Amino acid sequence: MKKRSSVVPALTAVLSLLLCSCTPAEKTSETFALDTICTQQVIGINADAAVSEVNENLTRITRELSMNEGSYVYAANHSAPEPAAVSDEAARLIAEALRYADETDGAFDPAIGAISTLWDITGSPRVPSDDEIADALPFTDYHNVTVSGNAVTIAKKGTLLDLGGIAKGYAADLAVQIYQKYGVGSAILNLGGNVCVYGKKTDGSDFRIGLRDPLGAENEYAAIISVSNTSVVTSGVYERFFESGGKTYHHLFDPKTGRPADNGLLAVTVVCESSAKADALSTALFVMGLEKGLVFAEHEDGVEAVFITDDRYVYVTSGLEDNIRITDEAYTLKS
Amino acid sequence: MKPILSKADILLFILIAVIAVSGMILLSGSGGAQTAVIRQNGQIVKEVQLDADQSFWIGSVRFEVKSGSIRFAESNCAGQECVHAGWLSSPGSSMACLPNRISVTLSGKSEVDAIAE
Repeated sequence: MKKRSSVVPALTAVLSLLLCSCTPAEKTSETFALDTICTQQVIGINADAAVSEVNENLTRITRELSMNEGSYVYAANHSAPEPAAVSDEAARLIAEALRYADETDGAFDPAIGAISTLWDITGSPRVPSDDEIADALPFTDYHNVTVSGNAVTIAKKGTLLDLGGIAKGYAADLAVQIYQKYGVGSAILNLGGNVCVYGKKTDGSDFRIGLRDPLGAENEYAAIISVSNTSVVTSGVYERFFESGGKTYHHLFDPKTGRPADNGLLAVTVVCESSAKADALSTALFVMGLEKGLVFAEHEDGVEAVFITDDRYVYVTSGLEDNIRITDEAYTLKS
Repeated sequence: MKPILSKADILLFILIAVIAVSGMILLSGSGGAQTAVIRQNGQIVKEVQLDADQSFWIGSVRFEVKSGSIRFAESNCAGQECVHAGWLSSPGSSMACLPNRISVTLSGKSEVDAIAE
């Protein structure tokens, strides 16, 4: 009897452990913010609290940093040419956006508002006339915007700040700080296709991120990259576009022409620890085009990039060559 | 001499093993037909097995289930992007109607953890 009583509890314990090991504390969440769908998968003891705090911030950032009435961006746009008082956070992000504009020689331009509202891709899209575009171009220049302390001044009235090309990235950077604060083990944040991975997977391996097949349907990808602790942001022609007169117009405007960049690229992905930078640079590299964009990305510390062209070639920067695998045979890797 | 394990012990052991294994299968979501989880405003409003063809409304959106796939068949949204997105069938994949804040996600593991787009 003595022997028997020790065997059954032992077997039960082993089986219970087996069962427990299959269900780590994982919290998944979905919310709508930043004009898109935002999902989180967080693993860790404080996952619940971290997920809620991230969601609250996504809602707050949408309210404060969109172009809508009541936001700091709206205040700056509508008080021009007088300065507008904005939050510390808004001032910092606008300054950061202006820095990327400088570094990319205006290929990323947060003062794209006059052009983006003219095309109105997310509202009632239409092709503006040549005259309308010519009239809007003088107002599409980040040099018209300055930040000093908490004051944002738009010197030329009619210039419109639009942080749509960087706000999701900023939100992801803030989320990472929240994950750190709560000490979560690992997390995937997906803000409408802007992917941010925190830590590594629970088995210690890298996250596998698919790069959307620009010529395929949703959920189809052309390649997989393996990454950890970084952001993966793609700008592609298949997102936020419309058709008119048999031609497709996408949302990646060249600030110099006021029209969608038309240079043979279908998508540009940037991999960078700063999600705000990845966000801004994915637009900038797309606008620069393949040759200039590749050179720029190679010279930028901590930045890797993938370019997909309309003849189905995939170009990658040297630091990503060992971490990318083409999964759709219609595409060919070039490096 | 009495055996170390009695018949009752062995039965108990088998019972625990069956419960544990079926529990693991249920929790991993890999058993049986694929399930589609439908969320509205981020909250789960319906879970549907894809093994029976059917059609149903969630708010202003009509879903259609056919041959193990699901799609947005009708929607009142302006862009109709959800309807044009077509059928969803691969494990772990998802799609959404943004204006209606309705999403559908399939159970199971995809080869990728996320898709950058």
